[in-house]
Amino acid sequence: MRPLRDIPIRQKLMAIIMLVAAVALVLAGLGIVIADSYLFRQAMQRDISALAQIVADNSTAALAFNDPRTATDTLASLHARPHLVEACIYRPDGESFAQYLRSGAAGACPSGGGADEMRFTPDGLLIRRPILLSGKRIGTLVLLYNLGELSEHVRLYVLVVFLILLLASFVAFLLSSSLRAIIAGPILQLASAARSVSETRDYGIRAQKMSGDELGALAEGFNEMLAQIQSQDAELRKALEAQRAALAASVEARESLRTTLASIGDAVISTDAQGRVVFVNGVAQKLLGREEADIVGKHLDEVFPIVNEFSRAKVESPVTQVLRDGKIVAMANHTMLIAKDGSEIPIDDSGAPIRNDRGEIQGTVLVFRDVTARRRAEQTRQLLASIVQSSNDAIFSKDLRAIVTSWNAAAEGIFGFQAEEMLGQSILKIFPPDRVSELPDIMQRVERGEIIEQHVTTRTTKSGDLLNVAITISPLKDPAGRITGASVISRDITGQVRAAERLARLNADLQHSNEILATTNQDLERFAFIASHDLQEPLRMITAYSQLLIKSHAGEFTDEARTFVRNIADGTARMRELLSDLLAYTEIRGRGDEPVELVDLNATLDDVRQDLKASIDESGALVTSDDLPAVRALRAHFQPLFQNLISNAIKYRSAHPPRIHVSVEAKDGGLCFSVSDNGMGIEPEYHRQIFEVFRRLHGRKIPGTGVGLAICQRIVERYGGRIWVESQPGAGAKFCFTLPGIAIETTVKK
Amino acid sequence: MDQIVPAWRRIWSPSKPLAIALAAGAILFATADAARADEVAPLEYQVKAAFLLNFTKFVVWPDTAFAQQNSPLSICLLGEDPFGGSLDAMVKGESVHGHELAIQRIRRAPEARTCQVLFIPKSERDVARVLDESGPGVLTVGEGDAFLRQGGIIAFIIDNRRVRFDINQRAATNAMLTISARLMMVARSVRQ
Repeated sequence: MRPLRDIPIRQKLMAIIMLVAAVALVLAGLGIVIADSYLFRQAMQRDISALAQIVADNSTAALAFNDPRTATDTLASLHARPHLVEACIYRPDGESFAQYLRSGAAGACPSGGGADEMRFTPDGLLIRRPILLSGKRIGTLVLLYNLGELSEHVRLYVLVVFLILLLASFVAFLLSSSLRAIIAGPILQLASAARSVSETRDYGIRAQKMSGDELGALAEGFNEMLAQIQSQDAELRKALEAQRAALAASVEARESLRTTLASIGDAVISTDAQGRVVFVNGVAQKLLGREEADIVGKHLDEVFPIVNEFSRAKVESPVTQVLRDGKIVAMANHTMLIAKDGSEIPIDDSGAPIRNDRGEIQGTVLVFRDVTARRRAEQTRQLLASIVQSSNDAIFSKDLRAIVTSWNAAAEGIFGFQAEEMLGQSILKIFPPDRVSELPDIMQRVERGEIIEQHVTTRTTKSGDLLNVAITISPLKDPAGRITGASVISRDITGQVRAAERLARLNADLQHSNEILATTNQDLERFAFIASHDLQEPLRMITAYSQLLIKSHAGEFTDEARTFVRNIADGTARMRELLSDLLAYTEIRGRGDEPVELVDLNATLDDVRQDLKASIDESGALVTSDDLPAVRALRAHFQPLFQNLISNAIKYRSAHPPRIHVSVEAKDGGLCFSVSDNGMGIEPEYHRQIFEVFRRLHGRKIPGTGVGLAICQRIVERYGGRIWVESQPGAGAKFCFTLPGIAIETTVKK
Repeated sequence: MDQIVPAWRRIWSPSKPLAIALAAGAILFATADAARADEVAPLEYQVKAAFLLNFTKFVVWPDTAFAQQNSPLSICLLGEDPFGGSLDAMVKGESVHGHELAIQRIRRAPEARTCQVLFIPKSERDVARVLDESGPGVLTVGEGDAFLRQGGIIAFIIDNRRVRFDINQRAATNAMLTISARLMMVARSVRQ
């Protein structure tokens, strides 16, 4: 609810009037009720007292003549008083003489004794008074009067007062509506005038004077005040208008300046004459790494620490210089700004004084920019230039009219023209006459943006020599992406070309000699084959006849002759072996059309064991093997391969019985076999020689033709493999060979 | 009868006001107790004595009824005194309307202004003559129903064994006496 002081005056007046009326009425009513109830009591006492007197008087005769009936009748007449509850008459000795009890009333007459009295008891007003006859007491009358009448009376009064209050309130309300107009009317009028003045700002409004009292004076005062305000307002308005226009102009100027400063790419800081920052634009905030609030108001030295890039020495702030010298200051290069986070930014900066109308320095303005990018670009450019300059290839550029725009040192060296001789000249200067026609095509492709790579052609030098060159031409673009020319990297490949030519010649020679060699080899092999084949016939004859000689003419020979003949037989036998091996060796190369079949190498090894049974048994050798695979190959190749290696192992055994093991493992898509023994071993320097034909290390001491390992090598090489030995003297030998291209039928166990 | 018992006992009380009150309070009298009544007076006459005294309080006499303004108010007993000494004892020291009460025993009808109350006992033979001779200003009190017919003003009646009285208002008016309405209210009957 609104407090009383905030409600409108009309309602306030109404409330006051009503409140006063109500209080007055309530108080009056209360007073009336109290006074009336007091008076009523008094009246009641008097009334009852008088009643008692009458009853007493009327009872004297009855008492005097001992007639209780009459007395009772007298008392019964009290029935007319509805609140009289009891009436009793006693004889002087206290004995009841007559009584009246209102029907419905409780109790009975109290005993007759007691002093005469009149008092209010809880039961009502009790009167005890004597009945006198000629001044003599002949009895006592007791009356009990119920106070119900009193409370009824009070209730009635309260009701009446309440009704009067209601009525009075209503009347007061009716009256107050017209009465309050007398007070509230002028005030409301004044208030509405004041409100319309404050709402419309029209100081021409005047309040109407409605009365000659204080309110009238108030209205007059109000009007007078309005008149003053009106005139002052007009002046004020005029002044304000002028000021506003000036301010708008200044704000506009300031805003445009601020916008300009905020939007230019350079960092701008301005300070007052003491060097304290008064303005900082966004770029400057970013470079300093500080918020505006962190900069403005502080001394420039505090937020703008700068050092020399190399010496790291603190550089004097340009603002200090400006304030001291009053001149525009540009900073030396290599100034580093240390931002708030410690990062260093290379900057360019300059400071200038701000002067007022009288030429006094009011402050400074500092403009600086981040030159990191520029510096980096410079470095990149220098790096590129040094690369170009130090390149071994001629690097130059030309515009779209084929005019040379750059020319490096290598170009000078290769083409003999100095840079100043070429710059501004047509590139055709280094074109031999028969290559001039290339240029239009090259320039067209450049204009299309194509890159011409490793174009091999010829160019001429200043001295007229023809050069073989590989040229890479790339279009050059300006920052807008337009092609403005081309860069050319030209490598002198004259030397390469010559070397290539020489190599080709050598290759051709080599090819030729190879072919001759192959023919020769074939002839040789054929010769060997034919020789060994054809030599067998005469050898057989010699063998047959020498055996015949021994058989038939043994007796005729001397011991010496017999020895000779036997030597012949031995020699022919060895010769036969030798020829047989030689034939086998030459046959291995073969014709190449023999059928390939599935060869179980385990079975092959068993065959070998069978063939070598005699020497195995004799030497006590033990030949073991891994589980060997089956391969698609010529059966005729593997028997001699294993047989030669195993028989060698038995032959070149040590003092111990030979232990020979054949193992196999998969390797690089093919197979790698090894035959290892515990024999006498081989000196490392012979590890290669032993595979040559007829090469033998032990002479006649151990029989052999010297062809076995050569055959093995030949077989292995036929399958694209390799054979070698790993051995040390006295430590056994391990012969290994690979068969990379062979087809394996069963998986080799590892 | 049990109501009577305390009353009987109190008759012998020496206190005069009490005795009057008790005498007035006695409702009945017993004829059977005549032997005892001889000693003082029969109860009936004690009651009647009290009544006689009380009548003076309800009757207003004209000034002309008294010889002088301060003359006593005399209760005259004609002839034989049936009250014994009881009436004298009651009246002694009493005053009514500013007049002392006094008892006179007379033989004949009184002279004017000497008696204000004249009790005529039933033993009187010529009641009518006595009444005729009594002038105005005298309250005549007699006994029996006939007394009023003879012109008496108040007559004692024994009614239902109680002492009561009848009033002849015309006789009172003729005697220039004003009888209180209250007395008439108590009377058994009032003759107009």
